[in-house]
Amino acid sequence: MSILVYTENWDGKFKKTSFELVSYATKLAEILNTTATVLSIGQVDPVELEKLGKYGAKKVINATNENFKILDNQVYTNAIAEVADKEGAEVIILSNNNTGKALAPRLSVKLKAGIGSGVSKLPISTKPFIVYKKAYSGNAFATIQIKSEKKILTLAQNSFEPIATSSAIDIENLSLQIDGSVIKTKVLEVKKQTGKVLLTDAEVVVSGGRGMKSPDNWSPLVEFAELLGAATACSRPVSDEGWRPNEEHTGQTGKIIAPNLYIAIGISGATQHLAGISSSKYIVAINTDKDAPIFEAANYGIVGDALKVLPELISAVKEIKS
Amino acid sequence: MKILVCISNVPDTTTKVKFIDSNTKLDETGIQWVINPWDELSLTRALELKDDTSNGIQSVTVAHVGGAGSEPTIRKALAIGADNAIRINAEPGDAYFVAAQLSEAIKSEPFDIVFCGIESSDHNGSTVGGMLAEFLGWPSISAVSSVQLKDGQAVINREIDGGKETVTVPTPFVAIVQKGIAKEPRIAAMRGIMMARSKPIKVIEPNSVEPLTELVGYELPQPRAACKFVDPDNAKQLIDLLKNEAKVI
Amino acid sequence: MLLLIAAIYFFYINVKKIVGNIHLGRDLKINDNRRKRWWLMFRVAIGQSKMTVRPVSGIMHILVYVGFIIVNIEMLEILIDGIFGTHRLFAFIGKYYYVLGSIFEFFAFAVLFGCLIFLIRRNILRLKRFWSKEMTSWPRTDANIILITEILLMSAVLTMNATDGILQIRHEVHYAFVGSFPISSILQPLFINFSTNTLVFIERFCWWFHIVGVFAFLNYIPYSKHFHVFLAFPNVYYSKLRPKGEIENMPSITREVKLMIDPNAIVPAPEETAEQFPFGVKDIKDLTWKNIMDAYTCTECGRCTSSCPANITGKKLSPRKILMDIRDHAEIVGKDKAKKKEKLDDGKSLFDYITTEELWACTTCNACTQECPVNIDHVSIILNMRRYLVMEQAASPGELNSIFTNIENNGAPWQFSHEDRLLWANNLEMNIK
Repeated sequence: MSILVYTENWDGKFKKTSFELVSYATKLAEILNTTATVLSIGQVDPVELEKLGKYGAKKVINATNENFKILDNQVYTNAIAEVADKEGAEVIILSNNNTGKALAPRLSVKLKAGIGSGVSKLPISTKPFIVYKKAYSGNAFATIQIKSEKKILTLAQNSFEPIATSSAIDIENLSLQIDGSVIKTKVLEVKKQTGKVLLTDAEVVVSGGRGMKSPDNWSPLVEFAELLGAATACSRPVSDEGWRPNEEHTGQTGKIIAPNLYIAIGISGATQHLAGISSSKYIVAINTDKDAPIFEAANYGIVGDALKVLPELISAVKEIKS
Repeated sequence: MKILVCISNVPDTTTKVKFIDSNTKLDETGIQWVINPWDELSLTRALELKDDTSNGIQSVTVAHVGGAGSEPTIRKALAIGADNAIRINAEPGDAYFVAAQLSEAIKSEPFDIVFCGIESSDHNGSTVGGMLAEFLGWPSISAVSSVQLKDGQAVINREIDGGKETVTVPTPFVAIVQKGIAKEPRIAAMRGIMMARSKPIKVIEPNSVEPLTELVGYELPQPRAACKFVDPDNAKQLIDLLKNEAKVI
Repeated sequence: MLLLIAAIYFFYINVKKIVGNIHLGRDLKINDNRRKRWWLMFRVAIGQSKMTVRPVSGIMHILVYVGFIIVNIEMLEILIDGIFGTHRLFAFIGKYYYVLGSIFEFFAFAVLFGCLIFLIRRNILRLKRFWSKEMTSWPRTDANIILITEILLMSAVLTMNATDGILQIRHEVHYAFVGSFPISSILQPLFINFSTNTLVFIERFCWWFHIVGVFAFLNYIPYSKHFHVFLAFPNVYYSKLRPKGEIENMPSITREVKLMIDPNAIVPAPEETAEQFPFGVKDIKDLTWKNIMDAYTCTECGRCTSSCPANITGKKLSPRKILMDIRDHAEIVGKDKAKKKEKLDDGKSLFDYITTEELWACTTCNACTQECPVNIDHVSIILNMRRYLVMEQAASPGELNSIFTNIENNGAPWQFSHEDRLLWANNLEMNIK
């Protein structure tokens, strides 16, 4: 019984997340001694689809229909379920991003497939099928056995490195029939940030807290982030005060991110903030208080005044770049 | 219109998580149980919608799957302002089990909007909401950061990568909410606590449903290596370390 | 005679209204420490001890206040004269009348002088506390009316005496010789050349102007802050005697908490059902009668606001404004009650007058209660309105709500696990048992 992996596209383009999924699925297929098929929904060019082959995909189903323009959870769920049935998939893999979280649970009920959500590595064992994921907001890990015949996995972002191989990919175009009347979701307005690095995609994040003292002090932080190609983030009090936009708030009730590098400047490290960043590969903290809890979570730290340290860091990065 | 808010009972955020029984169970001694933070925010939003009488919300109900030990948390929700509560008397098995039970309870009454928090701070599953919607056969909107009612229509903001989409969906629907749904959680006032004593908690027995997954065990994270401190006067060293040692820039 | 009866009658009606409004508030028994209370009233209200903290205004006020009382003894003579048609009846006491009259004149002049100084401080020097935001046109007009009325009435008395003196010298009928009084004598040159008829006219005019003025003023008082001349005494008598920083417990809450901890606890039955009164204060009926009496006693002097650290640093809070707002709303509620309206208010509560921003700005330092010359307790009102916000509506500012949540969940105002409570003692060489 094969594996079906759903790769989302953004305006017809794939992102690192998509390739992580393909590599993961390919690896899992090897372990289970089966094949992995990729499912793409919506308008994507063949050139883009072929990129999936670079990460091990052998076959991709390019499902299209007018009505896929809007993400209606029921419509997409039904489409994935239909393809899964057709392909005889036993394991379905999605990303644990917003879309994955919206679709995977519905699929689970539709297909009576148990879910391992937010898994961070390949299953620990396949008979019984046991997966590994974060629990207690990052304070622990849990191993969960999926008992049902069909299984769904959602992969935590930035937890599996895409493995580049080359493989010839077979594109199967599938035009699905969807009755327009089943679409219940209507889009009224879309607001998109343009240009800046997205927080959830970023590999490096530079984040500021109340220790920055005032919104006027943010320009060195932004400059530092730009030099590193990083996204900017902030702690909850900073977003509550309106110093930074709400979208930048990382923490338990904000965004939970897992970049390669998270630099926390003037952030004390309260539990809720740590819950949002604990999966970061490396954490750096800059704070005037040597007893700040953030240092217990950090790999590297500087006990000092951010406003004095930042200019030095900026010139150090500029030096390396030149 | 009637709103239902699903709540789950979780350990407080500052809890130091420990496990017993060969790491298969959470050590519950000394744990302060609270309403799941996202569910608290949903409840706050539901009550805000009710406070605005032009929205015509008749009642806000909370639903929970759990044993009698969860009653204090349910009373808390009632004290914050919910009108009544439903408790399905069963230990929460897995998300599939919980969603199945909730859907039975919801089907029995005409609810128009169901709120679910995006995840619970203990299992971090992010699954109950979507499963519930599928059991009910209702549309669901996920990553919801705001819900408003305008002229009887639900106007919902959901987060998409790099921005947000404003959508509308006909009732009944399930809104799976995250941060932004309410600015701050409401707390219970003295008056609310007194009134909560007399608000009804309907206890119903669970249907038999087999969970699809089972917890095998827990593991505590490896203690992080102590932080390597860099002299603030030599901040350049940090960049060196990040580049050459950690190799992240 | 008729005028006298009419004046007293209207005054009585208005006072009754005020007393009725005061009784809109909750019951409160204040019958302890009688000796202490009498002494306090003697010292603060009669003795003006708190007024002299600000010496210029304190001394002027003592002159005006003592003058007011003393000149009213002369009023007695005038009243009897008026009823029985006599003239300076008390003159029968002979030479003491001259002494008495001189004393009266001295104080009449002192009152006039004091009021003049007050007018100058208020309108020309424009002392800050007379010009705060809550001192809108009516309070300012009220104050000026009082001062100007007193000046006019005292001028009338002095003029009356001056012309009377001249008429005595001219041996006019009715004007038995009693002597010219010292101060009015100084005025006499102004009138010396007037014809006798004119002088009689002036003397009678001043006499009537004065008595009618007094009756009118008497009836003006219940509508004005000047009512404090009557209320100051009971208000000080019924002051809060407990230390200023002490906040009284709420027996209904103590009872609730006891029941929550042990549902079988034996607790006293509630005196009032929880439905009748909310926790804290939302409207006039939730205040105690003493709070409302405070509002009617307020002289609008502004010493409270001018010493409030919140107000001084630019916050919206003005303790005086809160008392004035209570009086304004009590008037409206009282009117509705008189009209037997079902809802005892105009649909508004005290929160329509007093914003939450003002309430939360208070530091409960009690500078206001310390400075108030009539012992008003502003802080108790502010605290009880806050209690309504917190206990009925959970409408405290977000920072306070997080503190409450943290205390409930973590046993401390901050977001740290209660298991970490003893971390501070880790490196100390102590045995903690």
